[in-house]
Amino acid sequence: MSPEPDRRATSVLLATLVTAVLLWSGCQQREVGERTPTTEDTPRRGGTLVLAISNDIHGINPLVSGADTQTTAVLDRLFLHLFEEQSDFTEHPPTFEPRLVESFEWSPDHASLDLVLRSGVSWSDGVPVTAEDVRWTWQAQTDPELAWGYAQSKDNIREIEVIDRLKVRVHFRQRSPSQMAELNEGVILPKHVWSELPFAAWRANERWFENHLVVNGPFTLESWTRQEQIVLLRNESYHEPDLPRLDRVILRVVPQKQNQIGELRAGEVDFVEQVPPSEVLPLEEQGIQILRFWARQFNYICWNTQRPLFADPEVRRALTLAIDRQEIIDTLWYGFARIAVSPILTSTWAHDPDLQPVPFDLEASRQILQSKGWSDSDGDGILDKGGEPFSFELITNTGSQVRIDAAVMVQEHLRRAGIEARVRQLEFNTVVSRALEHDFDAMLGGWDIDTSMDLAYAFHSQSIEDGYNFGQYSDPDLDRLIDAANLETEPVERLKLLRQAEAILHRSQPYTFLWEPQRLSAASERLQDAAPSPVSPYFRLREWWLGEAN
Amino acid sequence: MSSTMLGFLIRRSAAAVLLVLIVLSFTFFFIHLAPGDPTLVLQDPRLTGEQRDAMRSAYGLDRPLAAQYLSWLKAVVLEGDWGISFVHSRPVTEVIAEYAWPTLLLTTAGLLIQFGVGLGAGVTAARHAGSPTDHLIRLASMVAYSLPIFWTGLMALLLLSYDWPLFPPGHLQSIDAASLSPLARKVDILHHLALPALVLGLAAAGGTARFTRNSLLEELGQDYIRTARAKGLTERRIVWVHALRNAAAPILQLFGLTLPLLLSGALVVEVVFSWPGLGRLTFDSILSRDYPVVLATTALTGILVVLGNLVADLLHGVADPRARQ
Repeated sequence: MSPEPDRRATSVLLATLVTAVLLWSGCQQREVGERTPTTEDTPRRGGTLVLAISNDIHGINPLVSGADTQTTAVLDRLFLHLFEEQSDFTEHPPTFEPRLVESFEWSPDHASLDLVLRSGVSWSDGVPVTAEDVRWTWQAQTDPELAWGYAQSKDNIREIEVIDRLKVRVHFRQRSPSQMAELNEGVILPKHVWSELPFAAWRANERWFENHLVVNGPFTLESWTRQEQIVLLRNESYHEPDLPRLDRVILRVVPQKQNQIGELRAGEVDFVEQVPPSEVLPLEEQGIQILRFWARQFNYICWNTQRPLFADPEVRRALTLAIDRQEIIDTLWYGFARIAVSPILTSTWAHDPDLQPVPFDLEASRQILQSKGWSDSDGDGILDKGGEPFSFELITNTGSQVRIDAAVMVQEHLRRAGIEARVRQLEFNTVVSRALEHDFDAMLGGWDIDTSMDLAYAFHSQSIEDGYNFGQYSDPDLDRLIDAANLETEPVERLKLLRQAEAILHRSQPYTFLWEPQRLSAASERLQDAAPSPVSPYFRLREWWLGEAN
Repeated sequence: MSSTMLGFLIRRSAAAVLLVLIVLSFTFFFIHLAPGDPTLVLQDPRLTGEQRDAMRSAYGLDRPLAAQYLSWLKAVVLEGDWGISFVHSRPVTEVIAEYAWPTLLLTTAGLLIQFGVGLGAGVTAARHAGSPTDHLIRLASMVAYSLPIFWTGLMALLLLSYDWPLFPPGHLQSIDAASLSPLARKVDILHHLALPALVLGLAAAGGTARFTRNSLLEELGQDYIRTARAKGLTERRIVWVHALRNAAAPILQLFGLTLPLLLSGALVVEVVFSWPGLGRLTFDSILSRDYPVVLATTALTGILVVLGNLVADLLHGVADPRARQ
């Protein structure tokens, strides 16, 4: 058949045109953050930093949308807290550096706290930040119709009294070690603008807040394209001199971790909050900085202590002895993790350094189980007692490959001890739902925790019905110690109570504490003074700056 | 429009509305019966049970399910009010409208590529049945159809964005798109669209090409084609005017049925290419139990299915006069 010259010519022309347009467009991609060269050891202002984030933020009103970590991390750059929690919790309880507050003074009985606000701080529309903002924010935080997710953190505050334009007095119901942390929960909001909308209407009008945004933090919102990018712009009215250093920060939504790394390698982004351990070496070889710190997280297997299999603490200890946690860490974390000892993280001041992790000792595990009457009477490789095999279901959530892999490794470790663990992956909501209903045998999960050292959430018997004591673990001695520690304000005395509680949990193993991971962030060579920390992935973002890449 | 056609349209539309309502009702109950709720997504030690209850109350989830259903149905049917998104804290219609256009852009481009390439390849293969060209097209079609989109997407990104930066690495537009002129911004979007649309369209084009080839081959074997050849008609006229018109009915039906599938296909492409759109919105909303958004996107999918079927029937009627009876 003969060719058709006219149509072929048209096709070629069209293809050429499309290619030319695409290539021209490619050439139009501009360098982000073009700067003039300077010396590299001197921090300097300017430039645009591009961060990759996995999820978009939910909104810009922190009381409506601030319950997820990504949104909080971003909104904390727009609005100031009264104080800034420091990540110095290794040696002592974390300190709180004044931010919006200039000075503070406790009453002798710690029943009230006087705060004097900084005088030169104003909202981005020029209106000064005053004591009225502080009191009104507390009213918003505790409004029942608004139902802020962390309203309970304000339960201990009886009243916030405005003394004068820049001075407030906070009245507490009782003295406690977490007064400062509870007061500092949540950022201060602009009363003069946002009070125009009744609290009851806040949950339905997110766009209104975007259109009426005034900030007092180092950055303001330049634009927000949903699921695409959030652009933060330097707040020119920010009170700290010469800060922030960056002109703009662009948070680019890149859902896939592999794409985040690809964009980092391609120079499209400067910072990826979390990279898999397997990527650390290849990235370092390419000159990319790896910034690491110990996350405030531990991973665990929770045993349902009301199920006969897991009711005996000796048996739970035998299970822990049978699991080679170091192998899990070496295989899945490439060494960027360590064995967890208890719910008190090993990097924190309250952890007892003399308490060693339960070792991996298969023989000791077998002996304990044998002493408890477990033996392989039918020779099928699985221990049994009274005709019942030592077999249970181990659930974990989809969406975390490392947990799924760990569950499979645990299954294999327990198999060597003659125990059958049937691994089952469930959607996250289903896992949480079943955990709260105590409808499981064993569950592999993880906790991201704060530095309050309040162990009640998962280990107090009151949390069985109203809390996260999934495994229904109950020990009156532990309850007493937790209650006492939560009221004790003297650090030395509190430390004693916490260590006693830690010892009980270590001995009775309601959880098998698996690992504490390091958080591995990756940054381009030009990013300087980036200090992601357990407090925030963008900790002190106002001080980050861009140098020249080699 | 003939009265037969009008009656057909009215009957189909009424059935469609009923169908969408049934689908929505099922979805309403299923998603509410699924384990978890919007407050459980936030697994934070500081979030107490009491506070979760307060949040449930704020979302209206503390009422009996039947009462929630009736008030939701009333608002949707009588007022067209799809409610407020739990996650986005805005009216659902506003959220959907914002996320719909990138998906529409992607799926339209994907559809054009699917049928442009698929039809062209299918016709070429049928015209050269048994030749090396035919074998090559069949092989390529099978490969395109078989490869998972997430894999081809990732490979396309790796090769054509990261290793050889011909295309941008995903996203709808460049970081600094706001500073571009209106024309440059449109071109920028087209540049970003090219790769995901190719991945989405070419994967589906494989199936379309095979479907077209088989359908056309069947027609090319008919007696009237032999007659046409005997009369001396050109091969191009025989294929494009006579055979393809008769082979078009099942292909057009395929077109109608493909419409709703593009939404689900777009989800994978949207995730791989960081493309903002309805697919990602739906996926995230299911995970976060954002019931109002899930119901609205389900309705949208249901409407697309119904519309797709309607379009398929109508196009079938246009292509085949016997179908109009």
